[in-house]
Amino acid sequence: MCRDSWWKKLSIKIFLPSCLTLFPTLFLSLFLLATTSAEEQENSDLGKIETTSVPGMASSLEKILLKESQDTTLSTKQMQTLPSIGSAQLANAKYVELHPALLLRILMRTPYKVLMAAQSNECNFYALLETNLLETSLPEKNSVIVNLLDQKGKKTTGKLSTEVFIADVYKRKCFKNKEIAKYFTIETIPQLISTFNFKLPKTESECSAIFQEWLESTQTPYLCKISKILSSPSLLLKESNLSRKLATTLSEFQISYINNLCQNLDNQKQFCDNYLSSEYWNKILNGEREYAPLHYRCLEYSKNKNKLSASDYRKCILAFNSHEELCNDLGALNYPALYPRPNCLNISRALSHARLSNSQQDCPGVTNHNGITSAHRLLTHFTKSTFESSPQNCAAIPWLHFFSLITKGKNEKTWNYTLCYFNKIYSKEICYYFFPEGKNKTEVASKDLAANSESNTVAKIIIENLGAVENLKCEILNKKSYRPAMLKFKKGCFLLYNEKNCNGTYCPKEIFWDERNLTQQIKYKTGSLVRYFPTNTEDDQYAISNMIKGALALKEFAVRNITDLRFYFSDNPKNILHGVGCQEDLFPFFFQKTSMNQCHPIPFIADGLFEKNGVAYLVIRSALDDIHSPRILSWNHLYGAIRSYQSIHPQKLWTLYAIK
Amino acid sequence: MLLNNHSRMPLTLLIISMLFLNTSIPSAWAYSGKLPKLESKQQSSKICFLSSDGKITYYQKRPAKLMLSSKFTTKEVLSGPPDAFFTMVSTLNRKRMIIEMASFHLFSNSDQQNFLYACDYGSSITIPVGRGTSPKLHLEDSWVSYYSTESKTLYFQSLLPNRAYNKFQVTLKAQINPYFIPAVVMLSDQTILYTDIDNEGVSGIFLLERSLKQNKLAYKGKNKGGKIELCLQDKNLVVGEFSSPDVPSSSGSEISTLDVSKTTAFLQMKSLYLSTKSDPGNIECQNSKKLIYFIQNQSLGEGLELQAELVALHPDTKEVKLISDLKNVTQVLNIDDRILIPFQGDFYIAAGENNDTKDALDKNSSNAGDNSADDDGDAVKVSIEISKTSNKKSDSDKVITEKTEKTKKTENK
Repeated sequence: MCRDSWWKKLSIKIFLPSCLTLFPTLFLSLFLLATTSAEEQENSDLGKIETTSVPGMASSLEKILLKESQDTTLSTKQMQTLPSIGSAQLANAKYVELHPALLLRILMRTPYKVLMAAQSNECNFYALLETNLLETSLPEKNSVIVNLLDQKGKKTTGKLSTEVFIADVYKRKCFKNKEIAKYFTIETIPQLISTFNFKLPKTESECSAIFQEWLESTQTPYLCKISKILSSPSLLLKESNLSRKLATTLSEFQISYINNLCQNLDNQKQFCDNYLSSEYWNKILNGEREYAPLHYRCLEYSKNKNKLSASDYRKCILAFNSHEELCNDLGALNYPALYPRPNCLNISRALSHARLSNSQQDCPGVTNHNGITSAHRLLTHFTKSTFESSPQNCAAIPWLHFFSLITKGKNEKTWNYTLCYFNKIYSKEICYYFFPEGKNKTEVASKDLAANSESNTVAKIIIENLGAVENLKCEILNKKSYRPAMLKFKKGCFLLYNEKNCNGTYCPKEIFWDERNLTQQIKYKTGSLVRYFPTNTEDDQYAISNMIKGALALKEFAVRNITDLRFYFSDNPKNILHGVGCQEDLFPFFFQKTSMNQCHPIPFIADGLFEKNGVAYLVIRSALDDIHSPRILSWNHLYGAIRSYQSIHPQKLWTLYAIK
Repeated sequence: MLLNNHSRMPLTLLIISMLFLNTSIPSAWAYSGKLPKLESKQQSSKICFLSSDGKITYYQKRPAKLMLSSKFTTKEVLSGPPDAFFTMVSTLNRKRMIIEMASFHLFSNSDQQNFLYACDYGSSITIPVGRGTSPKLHLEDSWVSYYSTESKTLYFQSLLPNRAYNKFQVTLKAQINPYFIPAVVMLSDQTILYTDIDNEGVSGIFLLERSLKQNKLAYKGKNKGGKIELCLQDKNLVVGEFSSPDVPSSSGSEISTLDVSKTTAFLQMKSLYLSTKSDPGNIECQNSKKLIYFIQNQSLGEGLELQAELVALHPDTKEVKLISDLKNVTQVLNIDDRILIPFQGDFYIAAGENNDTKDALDKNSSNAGDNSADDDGDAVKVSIEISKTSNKKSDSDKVITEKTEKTKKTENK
């Protein structure tokens, strides 16, 4: 009874839509088969298979379902009585076709979306049979039941292997299938796939055309076979080997495209949505975009994992799509930034239009300099430089990166972070530039840059002036863990910070060497740094924006209105904007004004533009925000923040520029 | 049909008048709404403080000087390094003011350690207070609080004589948001309310009882990522709880009051305003007219663009009145009981007079408009102390001292 009702439900799902729309060929053939069967009922010498009452599609649904449920024609017992058809018999046959009962079973039991691939032409049907995607559910696997008409007009019903049947069909018709089947081996599949054209749609009509192409293509059944192997690898050694090889040789994009196609053969909208949808996470899943915006969030979400696999990323994306609030605070403690971050949907919307190239993670909340945070992001975008970032070193990396820019441009005099000592030989104070490291030593590949780290600079001063050994290295320690009574602290150089007074790169330290406190002799001299945009004409070449332009040979153009915005964003896909606005106007929810002309200027990067309902929106990454959590602001809103800053700027500078 | 000469004439006049009207209509970009723009003798972008009667103006003079303009004289108040930028806070008590001096354009962390100074209302003599940001005056300008985001410490300091012995501090958690700035209200020098945020992102109100050495969570916010704002309106504590627009399915916005003279049990708060939308908030309590101003989300539907306006909430009637029509209002200021909207570099007056350009003397010059520090005995004491310690005793200081005596005599009478 249960089976009856299940089949009925399934059949209704399968048959009603198919009856109405999509099975012209099969519909016709089954109808014909039904009539043929009926006619031949009395004259049949088709063996013991009862063929008298296989209803065609024109029969009532009730009759079809009843027949299917009562069908014993393809039972084990019946199968055993069927004669096997030999190759000689097959070769001499005038006509060979699948038995109607088997055909009906296939139609009833095969998922609708698989049958969609067969609807356009007969050859696709046979290709699906060849790739075992059609459900025959016969007791003897890999075999089919056929009706055969020999040269003398004698009809026989028998069984033969699917492979032999398909080979015969490909000889008589569907020659293209034969060619494709030849290349469908473990060794040749990757090459075969590389010849396929996986077109990405940009519009709905384009997607509809691409989808129809795939439905009619003879390649589709073979692609869906690959999808089946990858998604549920069998225990058979051959298929298991193939699955492994495919997983390593095919690209993520190819795999996701094939899966998307085969899982949505009956759902064009879903197929298209995955490409036309603004869901950025889906684009990462499709292999169209980098993993970086997902990676750090996913690491935290996955907990206790150091490396993430593709399935981990998929799990994260599923979670983000269904629980938008996850993105509000994932990564907030390890990589401090403005909290709460946007939700997953808004981040996805923003990233879909964004173009900033940045595969790293930074932590503006502890870098302690908004100008340097923003400069680091610009440098990374234009130079494609990479640093391995972690919660321990993310604060120092922007400093290091910016310091390298300064030293390249020989602008050291603008760098106000120095360690100074009084040289008795020269009777004067000598200072060395350094970049701050915070609580942790920063590992740097470049030796020249590494020499300028805080700990290495202190070591250098001690070596040159106090006679320490050449290979002296200074460690950075929490003051609480420094125990001078212990042997290991008797010798060596230690920079000690106070946990309560150390926040990111603002981390004043005491210097100890061989138990001697050198804090008074080696002094930190830190001052204010350069401006982001010039505030006067005397030293405007030392403004961060000008230093970046000079070092990277970039050009800068003021953007004052929507027309300029549209122009610069469409001019070149790499063009981005940077600017400065008052944080109280950019983020009124987070910051309240209590004084007239109160304004904390914040640099930002605008790397995306889109228009909706006549309003222009920009994708903004402020120096307070997590790099991979951009926000969307309307042009009006951004304009107000820039105007507020302009009104109090010493030169009334308009601070929004396109850089290219 | 051809127009005859008679009908052509009025038509021509009509066309000419329309052209005339068109040329006089402001461009589409200029605001032509209902709120007047603040007019002052100084350029508004330079003004740090402007009294409601326009008689006292603190303004920034380039390169880095804070000046006071009052009673037809100007005096230098402070000078700083070349990139120094000054902001000021004051209250309706008009006794003292706090000056914050920042190194402005150099983009250190937005919560940098700025220099803070105190001065009497309308005075040019300052005393250093400490280093931090977000200063606020409490208890009739006798106490100041300020915050250091680097050490996550809230500092409290008395501005009364012997103030050196009257200071304390509170350390906050605020790990999850490095840019968190707490709201602070001092109910007395022993009882303080302040906000903090836990590692889950939920804000809460803490009640510090110094005499009992107790610091406990008095109220926990409803939403992750939301904010709580506090202001005091006479004896009523106004609590604004606003959910973040980025956190889905949060509870919206609510403004409540609590009579803190009777209780600090937050469960007894009376709700005045509820909304399902995430308002930007930024509440300001205007004590003279007992209104609560805040920025309300006026966006329709689920659009990305935030359209917000200034509204006024009447605590008794719970009526919310729309004040502005600027479409992108982000902030509101209460400057000497005048409600201003800072908008794209200008200030619009939402409540109060726009008489700062008038130079006419009032008829009763001793009482009306004389908002110097002379009125309050305590403030006078501080003035005298400062003037004693200051090496420069200018004529204007002598004038202030003399006036003080006169006012005292009139009060005694």
